[in-house]
Amino acid sequence: MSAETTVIGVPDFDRVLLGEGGTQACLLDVRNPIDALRWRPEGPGIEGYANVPYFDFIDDEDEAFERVPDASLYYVLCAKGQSSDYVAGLLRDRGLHALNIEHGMNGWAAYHRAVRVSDSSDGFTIYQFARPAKGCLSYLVVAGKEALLVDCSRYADVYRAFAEQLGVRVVGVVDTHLHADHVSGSAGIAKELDAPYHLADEDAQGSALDRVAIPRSFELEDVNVRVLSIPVPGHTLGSTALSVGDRYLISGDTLLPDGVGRPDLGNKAREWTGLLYESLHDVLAKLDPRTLVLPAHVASSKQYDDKGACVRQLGDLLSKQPAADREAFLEKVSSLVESTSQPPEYAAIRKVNLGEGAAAKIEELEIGVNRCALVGAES
Amino acid sequence: MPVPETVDEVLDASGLQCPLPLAKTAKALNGLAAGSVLKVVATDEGSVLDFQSWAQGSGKCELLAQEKSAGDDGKTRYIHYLKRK
Repeated sequence: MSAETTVIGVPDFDRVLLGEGGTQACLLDVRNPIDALRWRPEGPGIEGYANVPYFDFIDDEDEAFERVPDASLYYVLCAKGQSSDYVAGLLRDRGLHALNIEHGMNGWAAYHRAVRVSDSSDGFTIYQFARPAKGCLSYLVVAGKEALLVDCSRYADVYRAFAEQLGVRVVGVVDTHLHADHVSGSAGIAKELDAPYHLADEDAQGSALDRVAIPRSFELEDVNVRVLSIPVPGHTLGSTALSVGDRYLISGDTLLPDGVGRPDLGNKAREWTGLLYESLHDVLAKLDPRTLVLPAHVASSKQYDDKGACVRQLGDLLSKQPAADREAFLEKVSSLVESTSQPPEYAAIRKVNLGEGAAAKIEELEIGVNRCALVGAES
Repeated sequence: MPVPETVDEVLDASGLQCPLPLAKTAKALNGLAAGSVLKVVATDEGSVLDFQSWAQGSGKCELLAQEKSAGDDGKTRYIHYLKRK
């Protein structure tokens, strides 16, 4: 790093968070304490953290500096990247090594990391897009020159640019279920790319969305790869997992790295928990336990591997389920539901995703990491 | 809290991004006598929470009121009333 470097772009900062930098650095968060408490970037590459608002530096610089922990390197964060630029400059004036995180939390919230998660021997390629600020994962399945997009965030440009760069045509866009934690971009990008948007009938709930049901299978590039749809109701009634080439399972929120998708979003928790149990026990448990699960979410940055991807073996995840016995499962899940509150903004997000809610204030709705998982007792 | 009836000075921070609205406000307050009221007009939405947090922790001023109105250019104005301590 040259002596003149004063700023770090979000993709480079993401690599730092994943631990690629080696140096244990301090994240200096100069936002107001209310915003700072709501969400912030996290990862094994950051050792120290302090929230010292930029206005404290304006008020009394020396006093503010007393609250800056010792570190060999500081990454300075604010909402948009301007106040942090000012504070990073103050740190450098005092001989400290400080980099401003470009575009701040706005940049971080929009950032997507693309990692190839399939093997070169598969004959097809699956890319996982992680949106680390939200813990949302989406997928691009590519065979030859055709591709299927799954669970897109509202940042459609990310996927469009990626597909363009690969030179592939998106032939379908699928939401594995009606999302409640983030605003879906799937319907929008499908329209832009003139591809069908797929969402299960049960989840579309008779809305006016321009969509078609999820077919039994998708055939990419003349059956070079077959993507089979597997209904797995529970988290939502229309939840659908996608089996790719019999080796990978895009699991939506049904099966997550640390548990199962919460079955209480329809306010019929008891009934849907039974469905969830059947989906796990009677459907997914019948698949090869070595199947590689590609979930729709991570709950923490610790669930990424060193490449920044999240892939789990089906057998491992099933063995961590709340309980193997039906009655015990119902009981365990219902107590988890009671102790894991549903964020109040989820109802509004679902409306937006059904094409019904106003799109205003989407940034506000999306603040905070997803809370889709009920964390299993074993994990 | 009600908007104060009299204002001693007005600072137009429209079009400025943080940290400037708050930095200019701090500077303007320094030039005011104790008890004076400063009205700050900003377009940066982030200023709402920032001014609240700042006034709470700062010994220099008290936040009397905040309001929102539409400017002539169609952009929302965030207006803050601060009393110099």
